Amino acid sequence: MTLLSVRKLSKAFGGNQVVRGVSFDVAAGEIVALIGPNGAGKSTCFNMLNGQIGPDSGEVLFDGMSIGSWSPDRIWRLGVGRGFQIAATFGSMTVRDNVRAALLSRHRAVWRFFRPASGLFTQEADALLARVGLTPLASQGCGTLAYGDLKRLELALAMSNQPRLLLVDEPTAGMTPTDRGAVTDLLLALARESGCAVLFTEHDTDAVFRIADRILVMDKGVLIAEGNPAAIRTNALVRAAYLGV
Amino acid sequence: MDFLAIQFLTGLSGSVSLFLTSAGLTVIFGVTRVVNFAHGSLFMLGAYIGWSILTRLPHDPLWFVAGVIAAALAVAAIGAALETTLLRRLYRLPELFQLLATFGVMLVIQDVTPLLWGPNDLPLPRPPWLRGFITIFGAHFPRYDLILIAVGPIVLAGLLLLLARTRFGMLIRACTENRDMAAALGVDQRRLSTIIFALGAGLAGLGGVLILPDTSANTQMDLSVIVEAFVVVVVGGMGSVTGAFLASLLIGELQAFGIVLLPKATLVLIFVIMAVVLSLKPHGLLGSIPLATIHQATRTPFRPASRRLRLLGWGAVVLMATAPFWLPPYWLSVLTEVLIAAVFACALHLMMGPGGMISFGHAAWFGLGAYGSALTLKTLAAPMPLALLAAPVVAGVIAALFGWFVVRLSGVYLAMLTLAFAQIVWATATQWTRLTGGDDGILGVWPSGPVPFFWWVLGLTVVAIRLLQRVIGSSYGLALIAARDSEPRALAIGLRPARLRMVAFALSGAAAGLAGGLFAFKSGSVFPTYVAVGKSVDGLLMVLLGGIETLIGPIVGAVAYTGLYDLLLQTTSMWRLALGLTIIALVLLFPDGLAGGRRRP
Ligand SMILES: Nc1ncnc2c1ncn2[C@@H]1O[C@H](COP(=O)(O)OP(=O)(O)O)[C@@H](O)[C@H]1O
Ligand SMILES: [Mg+2]
Repeated sequence: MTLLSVRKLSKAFGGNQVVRGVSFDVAAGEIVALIGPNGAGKSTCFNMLNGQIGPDSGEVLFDGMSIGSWSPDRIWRLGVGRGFQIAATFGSMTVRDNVRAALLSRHRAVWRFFRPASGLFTQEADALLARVGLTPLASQGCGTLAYGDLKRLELALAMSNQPRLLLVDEPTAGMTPTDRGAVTDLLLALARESGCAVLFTEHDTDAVFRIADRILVMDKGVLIAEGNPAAIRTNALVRAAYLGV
Repeated sequence: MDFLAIQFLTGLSGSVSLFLTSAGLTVIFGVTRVVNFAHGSLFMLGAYIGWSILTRLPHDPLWFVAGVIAAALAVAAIGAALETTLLRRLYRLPELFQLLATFGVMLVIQDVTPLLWGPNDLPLPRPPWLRGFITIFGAHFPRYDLILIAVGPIVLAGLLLLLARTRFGMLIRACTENRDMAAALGVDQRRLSTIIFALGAGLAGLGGVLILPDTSANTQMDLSVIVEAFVVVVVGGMGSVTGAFLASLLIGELQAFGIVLLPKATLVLIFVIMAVVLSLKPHGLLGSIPLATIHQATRTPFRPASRRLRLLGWGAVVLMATAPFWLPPYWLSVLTEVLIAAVFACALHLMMGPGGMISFGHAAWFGLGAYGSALTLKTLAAPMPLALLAAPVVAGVIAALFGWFVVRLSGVYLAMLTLAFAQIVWATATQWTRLTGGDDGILGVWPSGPVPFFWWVLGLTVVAIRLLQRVIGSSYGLALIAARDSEPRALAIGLRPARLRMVAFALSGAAAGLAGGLFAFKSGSVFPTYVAVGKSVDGLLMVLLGGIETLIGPIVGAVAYTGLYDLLLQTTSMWRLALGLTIIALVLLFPDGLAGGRRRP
């Protein structure tokens, strides 16, 4: 069953055509990697998928609904979680409060002005933190975390609404090799447990070929190849884009 | 038809000096990212120095031109000196501190100018060639103004050529578009900043001296021109010289025709135009510089006060409740003022701390509350409690409306707009004499009823501050802080930053309004000074003194500031100078506020 369907998506910044007519599908529960050299337009695609920026043209269908012009908060409510290339968390809060903020939003409890937030959804927050391995750091200020832990926190935030689709932009960028393997495993485990689909970008080819069911390859704003890992390895266009041969 | 043409020309000539000043402001911002509050003072210095030079020169056109250029160069030199001694230290600080420090410079210049030139307005004696008229469209038009009209496009063309054709211009553009990249490519930003500041200051000085034949040099011109220049730069787009030109034309024409059509509402008209432009183009007509929001380097979580501190607080409240029985009236009055100041500071703190929005015009809400109370009392003959209730309601509702269209703007844009709005409220209060009594104010706003007024103040202060603190600790507060910390992340977890901020705006406005209402009854009167820029800065200083990152900060700041201020008023007549120097010293020494401690180097 198709969960996400992208049709002829395009975006230009100024005169710079960054994404050109990209089309692809993601099925429910599928793990799809979107790869390509730096500047290919992957992050821009992600930003259009969750409404952070509006596409110039093209269509984004989620579960049959056209969400191309929706705002990020509405798209999140449909069940789309997002991890950013450069970890975006709430730097002044504790790790637990980061997740609590997401849970307040999920349970539509944001517009309460009087009761202290500090007692709300603590168990649920801690469960999510346990899931991504951050239990020991729950009470720490987010500003003190190592970058790898920030990325884990991002995963917890993205998972907080029991999403049907996770959009994760370079989940292991800036980590040590061991950390990378662990976070990749975590991503795979989260997806398998919850049954949600994952669309992720990644430069670490080990991770890509290990966990992706299918791989999309982008170069200079265009989708140049698509297929299972084995097919991509031998694809001439991909080799040309990466190796210049 | 002829009338329209003449009015149009008047608008053109009126826009020139504004354009020169705004162009200076905008190029300085482009390269240094500093919004120079003291820019109006440079304009004013241009006028005063120009006066000193021109009155000593022979009265013929060539000497006039030479004098004008000399004045502009003198101001440019002052600008360069200012940059190398002070502003250079500000580049790494949050924009709020830059605004405050340059505001301090403005205060200092405000007190120094009368020392050098005397307190009176200085008109330029006009030789015949300056007084002449030319007949166009069958009407007399001042010859000088016609010459002035040509100066705008000439300077614009000169600046554009400078930017497009010279190596220096290329460096300026590189820094304006991408400072980090320019730095990485080895552009010497220190020298460039000094030069650009001199250029901008020189333009402001030129604007100031060119306006001399039409008005006189006076000590109010700094503030009035800086507010207009802010509007121009915001409407034109920060960093864009052509945008500044277009926007000053727009404002100039609006003033020329507005005076005829809606003499009392010109300022409001300007604000409406600004609102329309910004809602269609959030970066202004030609602006493209991406603006950062508040600096986020050192953010620590807001924690509820410790048990000890809370006990101490309640102890103080109980003690204060008995104050009417034992405190001498003078000190009771000071205490009342401190309490009201604390409400005002906590209101502003909600916006600047958890809300992450800079308000440079919080006096607007204070003043609206004060006028709201006084008018409810006077025109509706309402009892005091009702009049006090009107204060937060009036201010809160207007703040919500205003907030609704400005919360999408970030950082300095928001700061400038709040300032502009406060100036409009101020102008309305001064000009709508039938309602507000103008400068005579509204008198006889005395408290009534059996309960001593002090208890009203104490009770409402405690309620308001507790409410604000609970709001910060509530679900809503957490979401508001989330939106401040990371807007993309907040959106990605389903929060709506704009809406959260609008509500913060309304709550903060309502609380500031309550402070204004209380102050009206405390003083027994309401004057336009309640809405003046100084009041907004009072609030900012209280919050910054105490530190933005703590809940107790604004209260500490209110106490410290009220004390400092009373001290300054009592010990020196040059309180602006003293306050200005204090601000500059505070910003340089304690960027995190007193409660935050001294910054580690
Ligand atoms: N907001 C923006 N404004 C202008 N150009 C942008 C913006 N975001 C991305 N770009 C440009 O779009 C291109 C693609 O960027 P991005 O989507 O981040 O690529 P990737 O994630 O594949 O590395 C790059 O050349 C980048 O400079
Ligand atoms: Mg990217």
